[in-house]
Amino acid sequence: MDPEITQQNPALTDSPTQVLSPTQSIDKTDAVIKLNEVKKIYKTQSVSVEALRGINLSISTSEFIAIMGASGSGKSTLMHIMGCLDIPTFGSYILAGQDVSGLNEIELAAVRNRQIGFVFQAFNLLPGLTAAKNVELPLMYGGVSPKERHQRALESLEAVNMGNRAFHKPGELSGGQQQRIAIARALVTQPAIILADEPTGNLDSLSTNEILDIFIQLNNQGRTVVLITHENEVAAIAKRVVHLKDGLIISDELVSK
Amino acid sequence: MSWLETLKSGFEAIVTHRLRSSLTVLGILIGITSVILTVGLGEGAQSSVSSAISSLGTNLLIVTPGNVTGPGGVNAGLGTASTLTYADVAALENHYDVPDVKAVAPSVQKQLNMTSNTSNWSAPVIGTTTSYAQIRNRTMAQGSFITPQQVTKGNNVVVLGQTVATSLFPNSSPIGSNVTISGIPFKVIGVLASSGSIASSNEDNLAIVPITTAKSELLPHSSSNSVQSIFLEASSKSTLGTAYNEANNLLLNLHHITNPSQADFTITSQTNLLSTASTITQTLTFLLGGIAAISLLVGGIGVMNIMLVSVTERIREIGLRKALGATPGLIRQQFLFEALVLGLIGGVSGVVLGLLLSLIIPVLIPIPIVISSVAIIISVLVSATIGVVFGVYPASRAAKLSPIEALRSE
Repeated sequence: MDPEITQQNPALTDSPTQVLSPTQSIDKTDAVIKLNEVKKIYKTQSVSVEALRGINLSISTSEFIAIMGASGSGKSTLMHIMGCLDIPTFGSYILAGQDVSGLNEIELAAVRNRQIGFVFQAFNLLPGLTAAKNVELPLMYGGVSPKERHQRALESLEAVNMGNRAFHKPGELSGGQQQRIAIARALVTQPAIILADEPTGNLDSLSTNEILDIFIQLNNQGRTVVLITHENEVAAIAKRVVHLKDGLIISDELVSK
Repeated sequence: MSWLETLKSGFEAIVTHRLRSSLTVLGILIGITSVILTVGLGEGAQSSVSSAISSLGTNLLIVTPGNVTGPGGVNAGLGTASTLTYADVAALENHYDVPDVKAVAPSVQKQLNMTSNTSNWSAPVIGTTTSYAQIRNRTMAQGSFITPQQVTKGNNVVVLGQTVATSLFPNSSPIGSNVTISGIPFKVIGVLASSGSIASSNEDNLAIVPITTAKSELLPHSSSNSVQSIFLEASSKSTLGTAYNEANNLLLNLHHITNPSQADFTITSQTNLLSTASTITQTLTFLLGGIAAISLLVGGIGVMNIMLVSVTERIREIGLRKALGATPGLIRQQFLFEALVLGLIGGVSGVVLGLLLSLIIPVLIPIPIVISSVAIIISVLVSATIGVVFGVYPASRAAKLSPIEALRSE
């Protein structure tokens, strides 16, 4: 980790609200995610690429937000930073009241474990483990006892209607079913946000609708869902849509239903 | 996440990749098996050599004329000078001067031709006294050993070793028959039991006659008073050292030698022989063990190779585990445990195979194998260590992977 980054962050986070963009229309009192002037610069030997050029974004609890953009727009980088898989080069990121922009690898692992529920395009289930064991994984890293782990995994699978497939291995299930298990895994730790990266990218239209319905249900139950996608149909289920282009937010609008 | 769970997940990963894991394990298995067997062979050789030396006679001291280096650094030629006499023998038999020497047997020896009615043979003929049988641990298969009376009278009687008896009398019992040695007829009064040791088969190819007969009839040109060597038996194993000193001082006095380094005789004990022999077998064990250790090293490199493949192949899994909250330490631990389990499986199955072979090999070829529990414990520890040592690098590589890169790879 670059020591300069960690040294710069405290100064920036002293008064984060002052640098908020005045264009933001969302109520920030209840924000679960606050990004302030977040920049991400990738340096290779010869060139440095500015993937994010100053992102200000605030997401409240129970919001359902879709982040859209073409490839190269910076949405993957933004997703990595929001998911605590990476840290910003400049700017601050406050997740559930904690400044995570200067954390080290071990601290980030703990934050990911507690606060983030990932849903990936490729499901990323471990093929050797049963559905229940896959769902238990984050609890295992969170230090939950085996008995409680199993109980919570079954409940979580039940919540996505996969209770009857708990002891099947991923290879025995369809794509849509596998993605449901992945969602159950994301839910099981009761994270602050569910971060779904192109969750329907590998699915047929029927399964896509099933999965999107689950996200709508979860949001209706009060969960914060961040959906990263480039498909308009998928983004259409969200209540707020943010468009990214060339590392900047070009539009941020509420969708009326 | 507990150690037990990490161990279990390591085991699961190994079971998932059965073929690859078993090939890796094979490398360790062969290494451990060869280490166990070579060390076992070495210890077996050592014990068979030492039992062969013990079979020469318990608590044996051998006095031979001459010294390896005589006065002025001139080689006196061990065993060539005839400096030992009957007077020395008589003095050594005196229990007052040498209380720890229990029995004394002078001897002369010469390779001679011998014939029976049907065949002929050539073997060392030993002229000695009755104590020889006791001192050299020899028992009779048939008949009896030469008696003190026969020694005193110089009777023409002979006791044959097993090899000589079967060569001269292939079809009949030799007892009471005549054997002609150097043209002089001897009556066979006994046959020695085989010394029973594979390492000392020469002990069965000999003929024993009374020393008096040997000197007068078979070695007419030798000095009438000299003997070639004197066998001594210490009263017990613990007095071997004091018996050695007593005999040494007595002979130095008798020979009027003040400086022990100029002694005209040499006393050898089986301790000397034993340590020489064990040095040789130990060198052999180290040599073979070294070769086996190299195969173990190759096995270890195999573990490393497979673990590196495993890390590359499971890069997405590593990325996912990190995304779900696994710290680099936990990832490192997971792969280390996997390597450890691979090493342990190889080690334990290597020990089992080694034990099986140690039972089978001695049936096929006459080599004893001695497997010690220490060797087994060390082998298992070594295999576990190999797993860990060669697992460190792949595990660190896995731990250092960036979760983004790992998740992105296809």
